[in-house]
Amino acid sequence: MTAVPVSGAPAAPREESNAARRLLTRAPIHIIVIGLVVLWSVPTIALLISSFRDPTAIASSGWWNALTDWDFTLSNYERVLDQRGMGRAFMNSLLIAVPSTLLVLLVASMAAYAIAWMDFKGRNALFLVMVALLVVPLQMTLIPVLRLYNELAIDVEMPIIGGRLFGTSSFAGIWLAHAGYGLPFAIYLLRNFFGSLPRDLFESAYLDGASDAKVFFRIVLPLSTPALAALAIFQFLWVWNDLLVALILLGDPDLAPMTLNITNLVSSFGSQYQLLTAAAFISMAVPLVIFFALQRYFVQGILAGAVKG
Amino acid sequence: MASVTFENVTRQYPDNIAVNNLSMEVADGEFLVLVGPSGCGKSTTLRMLAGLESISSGRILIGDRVVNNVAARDRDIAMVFQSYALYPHMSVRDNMAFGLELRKVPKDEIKRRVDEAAAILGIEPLLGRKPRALSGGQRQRVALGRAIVRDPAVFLLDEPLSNLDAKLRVQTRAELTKLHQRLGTTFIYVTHDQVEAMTMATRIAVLDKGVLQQLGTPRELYEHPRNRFVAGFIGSPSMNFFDARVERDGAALRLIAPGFTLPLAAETAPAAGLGDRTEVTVGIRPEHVYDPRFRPAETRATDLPATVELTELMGNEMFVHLDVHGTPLLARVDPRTAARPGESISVALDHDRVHLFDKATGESLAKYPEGSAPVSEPKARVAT
Amino acid sequence: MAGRNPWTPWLWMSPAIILLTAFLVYPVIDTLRRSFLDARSNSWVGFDNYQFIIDNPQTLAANTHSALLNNALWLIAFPLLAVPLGLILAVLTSRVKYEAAAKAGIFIPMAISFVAAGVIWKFMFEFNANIGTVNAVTGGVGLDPTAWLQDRGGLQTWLTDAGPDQWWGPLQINNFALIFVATWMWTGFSLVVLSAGLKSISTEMLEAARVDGATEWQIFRRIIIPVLSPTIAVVTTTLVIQSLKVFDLVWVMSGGRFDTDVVATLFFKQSFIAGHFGIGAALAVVLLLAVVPVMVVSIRRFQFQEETR
Repeated sequence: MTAVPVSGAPAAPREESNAARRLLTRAPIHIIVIGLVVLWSVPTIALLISSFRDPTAIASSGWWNALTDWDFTLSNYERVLDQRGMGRAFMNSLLIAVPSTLLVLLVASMAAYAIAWMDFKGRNALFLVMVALLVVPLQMTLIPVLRLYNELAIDVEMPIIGGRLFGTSSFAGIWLAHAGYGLPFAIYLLRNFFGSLPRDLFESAYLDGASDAKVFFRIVLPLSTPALAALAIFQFLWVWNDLLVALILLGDPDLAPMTLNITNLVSSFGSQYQLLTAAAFISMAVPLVIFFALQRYFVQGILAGAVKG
Repeated sequence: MASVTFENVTRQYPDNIAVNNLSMEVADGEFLVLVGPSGCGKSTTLRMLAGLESISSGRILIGDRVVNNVAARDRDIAMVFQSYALYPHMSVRDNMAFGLELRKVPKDEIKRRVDEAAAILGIEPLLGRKPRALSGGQRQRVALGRAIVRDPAVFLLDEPLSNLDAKLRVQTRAELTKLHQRLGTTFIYVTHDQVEAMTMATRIAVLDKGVLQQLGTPRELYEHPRNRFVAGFIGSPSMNFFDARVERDGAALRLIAPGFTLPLAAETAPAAGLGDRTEVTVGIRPEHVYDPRFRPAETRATDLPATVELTELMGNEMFVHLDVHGTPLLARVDPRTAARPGESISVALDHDRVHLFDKATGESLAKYPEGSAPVSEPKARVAT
Repeated sequence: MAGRNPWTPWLWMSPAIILLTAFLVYPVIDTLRRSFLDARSNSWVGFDNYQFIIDNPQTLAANTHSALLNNALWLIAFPLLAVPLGLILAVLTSRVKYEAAAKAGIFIPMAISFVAAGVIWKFMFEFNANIGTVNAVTGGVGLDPTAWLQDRGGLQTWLTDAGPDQWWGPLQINNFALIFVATWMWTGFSLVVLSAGLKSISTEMLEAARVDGATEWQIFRRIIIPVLSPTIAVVTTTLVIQSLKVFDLVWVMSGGRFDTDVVATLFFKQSFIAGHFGIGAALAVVLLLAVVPVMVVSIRRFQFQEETR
């Protein structure tokens, strides 16, 4: 080994050539990263551009022609929103997703609090059973639940939101179903988060005279906003993007969410891309807004759910 | 305000006993320090008293009330945690007010008490801040303030100084003592640091392996440790120990150690059970090994030749690591002492200040002075 | 804690337990029972439904062998694509300044629904090379356009124009096209999780390796991969579960036609279209049995993490 030059003339030119070599050796990194990002973005961009193109243009030329030949129109969106009941479907998607999300947050955080901070026999076993339910394929639950709903249907008109009180043409039914399906992940995520809060805080609060409900509402929930936000985003997107549960448990076409409507579009207008692209983009708008606005929480939710277990 | 009584309290876990048959009484207004190495059961003891840990057997009383099955919030106690456990989402004022608010204390009364506590601790300017905007020392004060406003019957403190830097710790020690004098409440304080115990406590309880070793005033523990563990734990640097044999020389007793002999004064030597040729462990504190030149007047000492291995000058004093015929010995001497590693010097052992322990059990062989009776029956001594 | 009512934790967990029982526990048990009953769940048929899956007597209506093999292909190919791609991207993006933007670009497809993704990729895969982006690109390098979602041929048939039109078993183009779409959707997940794992590796350890004289490749191979292996395992497990449960994507894009059925789509067809609950339930049980080993591994790992927490 030779001594490393500490100072002096030779150092300067070496640095310069290093910088040049650095740029050269780093070029492949940039090419791969940018290349893959472009490859990953092209489909979404293609959809977005096409949804603004004239129906005849979509059917005869590729979306890339629109990059040089601007002829954008909003008519596709108008047609979709007017004629295909998409406005109602958009509302339905919200009416399904928001209450299901709130329900999961409440039920899961209560259970997670008990599992994380109350001592009782079989607490770990119970938690393991709940985590294990995470992998049950949803499909296999649908027939039994469907039968249950048919038996327990309550045929009473619901005011304002529409549908029946309970059963396969009710919002309540799908809220409960989504809550049930979302619970294993939600309990898992929240228990891990609650469990990581410092024990001293809870003990201090108990000594301060707080009941469980007080500790839950005054200490646990305010301190868990990041986890609750991540979970809320997750659950909301999951329900918003769901097709399967709606397909089976919502018999009433008036209550159908966006995903169901688009699927119907696909089967009846297989290659009318002017409608499909616009409809797909409407359904993507809400997730994309949430994604860009709350990306941090979204990523946190994924990590909390994945890295820890 | 209240006294606290532990009656045969045991806390058993599946694989170990954290606290074993603990009995002690803490008088009203006392500043009791529970001290011991980590895992000795001191925190478990405190947490059982707080109601955060259940009691396997025995009884705990606060005042006249058995609290075994009383929920933590109904025990009228306040606790300062090692981590301070401040609620991060609440301001300092809300942190202090939380306990009172939950107890439905009227708003103006809460405000009065929070302001009063803040004034005592000098944290009025911080009341609007969140915990994360506070320094370690400030957080510690807020934690104290949160306990003070509650005006509890008993004040529990779990290593409240361990997260402070050395300088702040010394300062806060004195302030805690003053606070205790001002409030007059019973304080029960857990620490692993014997210096904190010695400086603040009215009485100290030394625990080891879940068993109470000795309960007494700081002076009693320093001067009359009941066993080798307490002797070694209290005092810094630690007491020197070496094995020796007692020999009776007419009326007098002598200690025969490898390579040297110490006379044993009649008043030091315990009468009971100490016969000729008894094997003992001898303990002597480093501060009772002198440089003969600076030996305090009115002390009786035996001069011994020793080899210097290492010296540590602290400024106000000097630690000299010595080798006396193969027995390692630490001396805490006057800083003017001239000693260099490798040199042979003469040291003076204060033979009036030696402690004798049963070699097998570690129990002290000294007679117990009045008022420092053993807390449990002393084990049978081994006589030879 | 002393003094808490022993029923309190159960009170807090009761809503969760009720929902989990109704929507997951009870359906699993009911499906097990139903898999031994006939088409209408009326009479006991023993193992007939399972025999049907093994014998595969109706290759046209319900090709169970093809579905099982397709799932096997998904199980292998999907993680094998998405995990290394995510790992490469995690390492490369950590070395560029536009890391956040690059990750978002890869990650966006996670946020959208399978339905929207189906529309996007039907459009991308369009046979007409004037419209379909993929065929336009392959046509640009001189290859014939392919009906990506229908083509049963192998890659070799497509590249050389020679060989059988129907390739053996699952290794047909349309399956790979579907798996590619799944990879497009899930690489973001693997990227985000692996990237977080990568960030948690202490820079001091990497610096120590550099001081020890390791090259960047050696650091990647000998330090990053082993340290990251628990995270890689988490990602792989998640993707394996996803590939076993895959349904929406296949349902929306090909409807399981042209031998692209997987177990979940076949289950769906048997249960809700052919109306044979018994065979449907038996297929669901097969799916569950496939997931159980993965679940056991996950739980083991989870318990290990709890112990070392």
